[in-house]
Amino acid sequence: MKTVFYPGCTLKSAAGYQESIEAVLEALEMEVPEVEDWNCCGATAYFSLDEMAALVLPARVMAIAEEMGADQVVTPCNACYATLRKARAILAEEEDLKEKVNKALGVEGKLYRGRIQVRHLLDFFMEPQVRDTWKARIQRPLKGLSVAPYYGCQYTRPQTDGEDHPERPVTLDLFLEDLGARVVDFTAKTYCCGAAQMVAHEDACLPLVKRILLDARQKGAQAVVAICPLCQFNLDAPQAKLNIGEMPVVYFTQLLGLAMGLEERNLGLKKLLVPFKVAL
Amino acid sequence: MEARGLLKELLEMPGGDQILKCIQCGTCSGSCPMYQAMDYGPRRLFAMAKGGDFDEVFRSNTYWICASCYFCTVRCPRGIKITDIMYALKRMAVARGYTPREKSAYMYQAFKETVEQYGRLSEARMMQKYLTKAPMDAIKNASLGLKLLLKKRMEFKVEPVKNPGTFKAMLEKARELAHEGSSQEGEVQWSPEEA
Ligand code: SF4
Ligand code: SF4
Repeated sequence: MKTVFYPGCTLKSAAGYQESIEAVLEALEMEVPEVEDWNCCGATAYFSLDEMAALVLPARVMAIAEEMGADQVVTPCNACYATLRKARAILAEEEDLKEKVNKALGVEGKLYRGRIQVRHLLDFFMEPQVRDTWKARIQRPLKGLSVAPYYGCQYTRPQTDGEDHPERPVTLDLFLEDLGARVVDFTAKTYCCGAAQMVAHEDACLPLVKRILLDARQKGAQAVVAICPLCQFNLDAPQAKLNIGEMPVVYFTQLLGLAMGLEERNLGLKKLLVPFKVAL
Repeated sequence: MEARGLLKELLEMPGGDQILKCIQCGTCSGSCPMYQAMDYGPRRLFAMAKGGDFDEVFRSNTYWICASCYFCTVRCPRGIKITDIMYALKRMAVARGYTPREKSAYMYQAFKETVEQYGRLSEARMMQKYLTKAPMDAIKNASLGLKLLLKKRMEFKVEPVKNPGTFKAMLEKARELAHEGSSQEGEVQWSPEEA
């Protein structure tokens, strides 16, 4: 099974997501090559304005991954994940659209065959073999840390590649339990944070963020755990405007790094806006 | 009969005919996180569309405000792909020159222009474009911008795809092919931010 990595555009400016992914993979001596010359997936913007391009963008990424001989492409972003899977599903059903997409890809000499699988980074880490690898490396279990697993909306909706429930998924819960953390019963785990609408409709989105963070607090969580750069940003950045105290929002790979005993400074924790300073 | 033509068009897009199966149960509107900010919830919007009141449908902010969370879609008892219909409405509205009063339309356009140029998105670049259209949002978020800058998380330098020229040609080809079929696309006409 060959796996390639599609970072997506937001990973670079995310608060320590990229650093922690790299640190963890390096410590595990796992190589997951990046999709060469990757492009933006188009996200919600392209499906809003230009349907054909909205299909061509993710198809280009998947075509390159196929060219690299990969069986699956793994992404750390919920929006990339949902977009690639959406395009994949549409192109599997609509033969004429696939033909057109390939005509456009032909401009760059590329071809999308439709054989590649699309996985979220979380699911990749929970593949039995990968899971065994990092579980064997846990040195400092996160005993005494209570966490709220935040999946966001586009990880399980409209569907996941696992069997996870669209509203009450458990994959991240299981991951965090493996790290030794206490996982709180988080009602808001798939509530929407407003996503890209935070830019234009902050007034409508702030109450959504507040609801999520307050649920985490009421359930006794010391931190919210995110699996997507946009989710993390939306929950972390506006806290100064909310007046409900601070709730750190960390990436699941940062916690994995901590549990593996990796150096804190290699996990990008300093880039979080609300500091994460829980004594472990 | 413009309205009838538009209804026909909506019904002809993949999954669009499902709108006729809507039983007006309201599960979608009741689940929608953005409902408070919408002129009408999805249920009401579909009732209006089925009734042929497309002018009012397109004038509403509903489909622009949709955050694409798919909550309605996974819960609809009739299996209607509501989120996809919201996307289709946006494309139809732009193609028909309904100047959106919605800032989200400008945000999407800024996103698209950035990607067209570099093949990749830089949030900082996109925000630069967007904020010229919505300057109030820049003032609201000035302190956040500063914090990000200090944390070295504001990236103005974009590492573009290897060949932005052929990349752009590929997207132009896609646009050309879209016009052959019934797909909708267009440019959002910039207009000054409404007070
Ligand atoms: S949930 Fe489905 S059936 Fe119910 S009102 Fe909404 S679209 Fe119609
Ligand atoms: S997908 Fe859009 S319309 Fe549906 S519940 Fe989410 S925000 Fe509302």
